[in-house]
Amino acid sequence: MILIPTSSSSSCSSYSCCSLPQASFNSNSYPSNQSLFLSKSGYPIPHGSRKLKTLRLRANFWESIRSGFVKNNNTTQLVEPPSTMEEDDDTEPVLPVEFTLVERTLEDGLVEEIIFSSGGEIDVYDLQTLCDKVGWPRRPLTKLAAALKNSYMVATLHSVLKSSSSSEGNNEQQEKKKLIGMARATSDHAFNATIWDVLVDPEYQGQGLGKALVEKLVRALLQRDIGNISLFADSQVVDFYQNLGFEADPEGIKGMFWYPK
Amino acid sequence: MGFAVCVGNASLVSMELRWVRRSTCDDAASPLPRSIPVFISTLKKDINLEELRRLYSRCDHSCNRLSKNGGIVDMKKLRTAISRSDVVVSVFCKSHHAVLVEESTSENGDDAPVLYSEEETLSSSSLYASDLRKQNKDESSLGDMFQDVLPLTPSNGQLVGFGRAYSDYGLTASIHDLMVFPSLQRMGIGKLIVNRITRLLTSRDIYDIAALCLEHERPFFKACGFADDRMGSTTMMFTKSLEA
Repeated sequence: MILIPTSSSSSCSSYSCCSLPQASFNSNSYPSNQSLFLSKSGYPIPHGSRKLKTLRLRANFWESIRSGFVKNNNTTQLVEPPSTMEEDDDTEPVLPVEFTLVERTLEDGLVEEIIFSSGGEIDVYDLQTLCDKVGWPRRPLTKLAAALKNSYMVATLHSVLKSSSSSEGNNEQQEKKKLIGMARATSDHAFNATIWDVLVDPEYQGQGLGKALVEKLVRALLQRDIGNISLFADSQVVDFYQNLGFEADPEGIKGMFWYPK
Repeated sequence: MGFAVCVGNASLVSMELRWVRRSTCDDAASPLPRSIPVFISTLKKDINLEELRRLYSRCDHSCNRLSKNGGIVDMKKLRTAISRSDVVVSVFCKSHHAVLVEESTSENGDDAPVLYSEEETLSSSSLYASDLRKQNKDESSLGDMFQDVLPLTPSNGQLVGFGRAYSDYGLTASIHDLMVFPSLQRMGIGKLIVNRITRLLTSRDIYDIAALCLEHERPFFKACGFADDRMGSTTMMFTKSLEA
């Protein structure tokens, strides 16, 4: 059940770990790096700046001259409160959720718990390791971290191995936590969402974990009234998604990708 | 497309004046002049929600891609969608050009029904094309001439084209709700919008740009440089209705 994302075309070159300025890419420590990243690409700051306000003043200047000449004042139709788009909408934040999917006892007495979590932290290095395991081409770690941080929803599966302890010696209990699955979705928070990068560790495949991941992700999206959920499935997993309620090319809708000449 | 006036405050231009023209074989009988100025803006504050809703219904475009959800436009959701889209491109043209266009098209009386939540109020006075026309007739010729000379800005222009995209700022992006006023199509406006969106995305180092398109939109996207996925993936959408 290997799921290959179509986004692998972005980069196939391996990313050397030594050249990274920071030791870990936990989402907590990310903000400082992200601001560096953003300023380098130089994209415009979304909130209004002074120069934009000057432009708006100039437009109003022309308007005032015009209204002096034109008999019919059309401006009533066009002037709208400028605050229409400026304030960020206060949609409900995606609250972190965590619960145990499966709990079982292994041969050597260890207890294994499979924990589903959404909205939590992901170690980008762990994710890179997991991607390698399923055979996906490598993608730059900064981009991966940025993508995770800005995805609307990221759901993960972790396996926690607990050494069995007596009721007294709980302090001695050791836990080993391992990332074994992930799925993420980007969205405009209202109408559309696209699911990317669904993967499960090969050792844990075939147990219905991938199905649970996607199902919960979809349910969470539907709960937020996001109706258009789409994804781009590799040929061998089309059936997998069909069983989950997805339809291929519904009503002739197809996805096209940008390929610059 | 001849000249362009660029106005911007950052290395990336956020507002731009361009000329679009139709090819000679199209629409000889159209009341529109062959080339008209349009204003492209990538700023969210230039969007008037009410105008946008009207554009949706004029272009017969639904926010919900699959027809099962009907044509009701939820304004609160639309506002969220716009504010959460990472790239938003709107194209305006001069009001009197838009009026000419509205005259020639048959007036489809029923716009899609609108869903307003309690907070929203219909404050804008909706002047319909027919009213505008009557008023324009009485205008002084000086006013007419002035309107032609006046620089086009989002505040005095009519929204005729729109497109938006959301992304994860790292790897992928999806383009949605691309539409141009029907009578102003085939003038290069749609292509302008798509090129602007892809330019903004690639400047942020995002090269995986997807667009969901219907069968009749495919030739358009193909001409803009889009193609079927080279990895051969299948597009799938969730269509199962929620069981109670």
